[in-house]
Amino acid sequence: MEQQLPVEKEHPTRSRDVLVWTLASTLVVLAVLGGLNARLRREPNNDGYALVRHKWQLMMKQRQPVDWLILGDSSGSCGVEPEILEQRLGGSALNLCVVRSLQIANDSWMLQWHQQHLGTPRTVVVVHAYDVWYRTVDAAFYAHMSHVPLPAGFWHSLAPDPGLDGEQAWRVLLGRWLPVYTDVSSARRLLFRRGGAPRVFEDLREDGFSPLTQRREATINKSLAAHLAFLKTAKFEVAPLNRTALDAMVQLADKQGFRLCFVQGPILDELYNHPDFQRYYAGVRTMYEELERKSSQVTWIRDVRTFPRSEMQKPDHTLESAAKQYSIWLAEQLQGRKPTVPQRLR
Amino acid sequence: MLFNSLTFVIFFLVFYVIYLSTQRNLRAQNHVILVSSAIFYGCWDWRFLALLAFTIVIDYFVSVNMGKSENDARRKRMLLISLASNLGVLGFFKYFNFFASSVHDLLSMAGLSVSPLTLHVILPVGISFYTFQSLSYTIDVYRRKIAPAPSLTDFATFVCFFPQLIAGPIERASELLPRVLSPRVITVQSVDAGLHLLLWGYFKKLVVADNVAVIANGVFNSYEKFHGFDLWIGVVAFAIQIYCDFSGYSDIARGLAKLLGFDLMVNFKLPYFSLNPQEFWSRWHISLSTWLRDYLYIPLGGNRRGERRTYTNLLITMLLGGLWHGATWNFVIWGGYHGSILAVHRYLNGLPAVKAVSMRQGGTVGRVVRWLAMTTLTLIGWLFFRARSLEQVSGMLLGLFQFQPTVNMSNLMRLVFYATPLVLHDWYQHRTGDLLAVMRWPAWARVLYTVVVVMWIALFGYRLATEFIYFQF
Repeated sequence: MEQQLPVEKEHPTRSRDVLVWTLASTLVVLAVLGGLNARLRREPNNDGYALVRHKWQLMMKQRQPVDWLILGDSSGSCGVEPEILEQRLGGSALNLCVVRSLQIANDSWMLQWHQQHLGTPRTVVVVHAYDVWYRTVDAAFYAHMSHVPLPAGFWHSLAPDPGLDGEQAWRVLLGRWLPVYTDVSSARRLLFRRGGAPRVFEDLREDGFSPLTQRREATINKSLAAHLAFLKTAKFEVAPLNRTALDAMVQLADKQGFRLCFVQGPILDELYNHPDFQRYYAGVRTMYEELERKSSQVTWIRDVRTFPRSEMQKPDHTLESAAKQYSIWLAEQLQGRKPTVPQRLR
Repeated sequence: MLFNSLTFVIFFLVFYVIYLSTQRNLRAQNHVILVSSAIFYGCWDWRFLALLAFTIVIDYFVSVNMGKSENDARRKRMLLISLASNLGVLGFFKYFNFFASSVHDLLSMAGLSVSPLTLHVILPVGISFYTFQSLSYTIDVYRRKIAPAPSLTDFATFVCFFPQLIAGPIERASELLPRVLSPRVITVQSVDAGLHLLLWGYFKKLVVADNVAVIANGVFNSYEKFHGFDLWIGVVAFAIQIYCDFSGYSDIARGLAKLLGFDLMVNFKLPYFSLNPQEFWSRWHISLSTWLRDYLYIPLGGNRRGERRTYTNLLITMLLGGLWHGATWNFVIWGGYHGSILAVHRYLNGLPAVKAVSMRQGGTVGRVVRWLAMTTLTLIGWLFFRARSLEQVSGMLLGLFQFQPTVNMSNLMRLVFYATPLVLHDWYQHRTGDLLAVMRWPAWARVLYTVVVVMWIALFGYRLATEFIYFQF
């Protein structure tokens, strides 16, 4: 043999030395990880998680029912400016749109919480992108669920119940109590100061509106390509949990007598006009029409407001200037609907 | 129950408390090992506990009968029973479909139309390891190298010892059985070494292997999209993956064993520092290579029957060694490939001109050249091992040597990021010649090392508990 092979030599050591290095190492590791964990629990370093927590906390700060309660996903979060609705329609407006990962379930949970703690809203406006309906409960769903600031097990008392098994419930709670374990990429960014996660929002106002100002051509191109790739073969369907969430919201609207209004979020004109999109969207339309037939409290705004590239950050995320236009348009659409309860004016 | 799962951590902690509490009672302690090993194995699939028990019972009674008898013919018959049962079980569960489909393909090529016969046979985890371990015991009893185990429980504990049951090291009865039969002493040194091996083993598996696997899988699963350097990145990634996955498992197994007062054999000795094929096989999967040497190569005649016969024996041994890894032709080809380069190396080393050059060693440049040559040969071998078809092998081989102006920087950066700590650590061990060199460091350095490694595992360790590659063998 040309080279000497390495050997394993157990080196003399004392119990005290082994104890010292294992204990010291354990303490240092626990201190660092504990610090990271505390920091992440205080403020998630992931925009999606932070948005979920902030919007819920925004609602929990309210002292009376909101007149125009806006629920939905990120297309609504950056697309609907409550101040414009308040100016045009009167009353109070609050944008509680979060992220697509929580699908319709979060809309239903928020609505029920609002009803239980604040009372009946005047009108609930649900703003979603076209591609939220098929999504099923997945890792992203659980991860965002962890950041809903309600007591553990809240999903048993608010419909829909996602039917989490032991392991899934454990993952949700782990995400809440040990984010350094479940959100390790945020922990890495914190430790190495590599900046934030891909941004879901740049700013968050007191009324829940999170305006976007940075235009990114590359992001639009990449995202549009992804949407078109999806639409090429996708067949419209509503996932079971989303169906249950819709039913729960419709039932509550029937029972409490508020208007439940669905609207497509702002969308890039290139995407909207694509034949594959129109084919897919026919299924969305059918779903909304069925909902309208189910209940007299449900309305669906049939028109879709589109925007050119210059006004969008992503195919379903408007820049602030376009959000203003969308909000004005939305207010005009809502004005055409007669309110069922007296207006509460500030 | 994977080593890299929370379930196993809890299992081991509970087991360890009970194990330590029976430290004064050897029999009770062995029973604790046996029951825990049965639980550990049963968690994979309780149905295969019966198969494991079958192997144990047959080989125990074969060894008892051999021990009682002086009649060579009778002892040989007993050995044949053990060989038949172990190889029969292995052959059926692992190779039935492979041989059936190969025979079917051969007959089809000869123009004979035969319906394919396949059975849905589940491969029992660890079968390649425990059958070989048990076989080595019966062969050693036959050869009168060791006495039969005094009791069925003791023998079962030797076979089932859970740290090495699923993926080795393949222990020799002459080494492990005496430790089963005598009280274990857990020293401070063994705890220190055990903790270090556990830490480094988990690092290799969770941080290095599972993260570079993403690169390797991406390249191998879509090899047509990659050329030149990008393919080399994929092959290097797989070489690192399989090394860290397997040696990581071995380190964890050995670390656990040291905490229990057992010393399992070193299975890897920095194989990628090898300068020639012979050296590679003295550093890679040592428990298997030595098993093949002692129970196959040497009985075939080894190097004692002339050069031609030596080359044939090398080839047969390595072909079967390849087949041991799996029931597909790419493993056989991989084995044959290594057998061939071993034979070529032996032939070239026998040439006077080459001998003269080797004597001079060639200095640093010579060593680097030889290291590069051996590493290239090893990487090409891994291509055979990992590829899913001969078409992929030929496609990738051609692609490796195609020039390509751009490089997939994402793959390259990821590979460099995860491989660097491994390279530094192994290089340090290579320079010191000591696989536990870190244990010599002062306490403050051990703390720093431990904190860095644990933080790497916590922040970069792959989150999903993935199986170890060698479980499929």
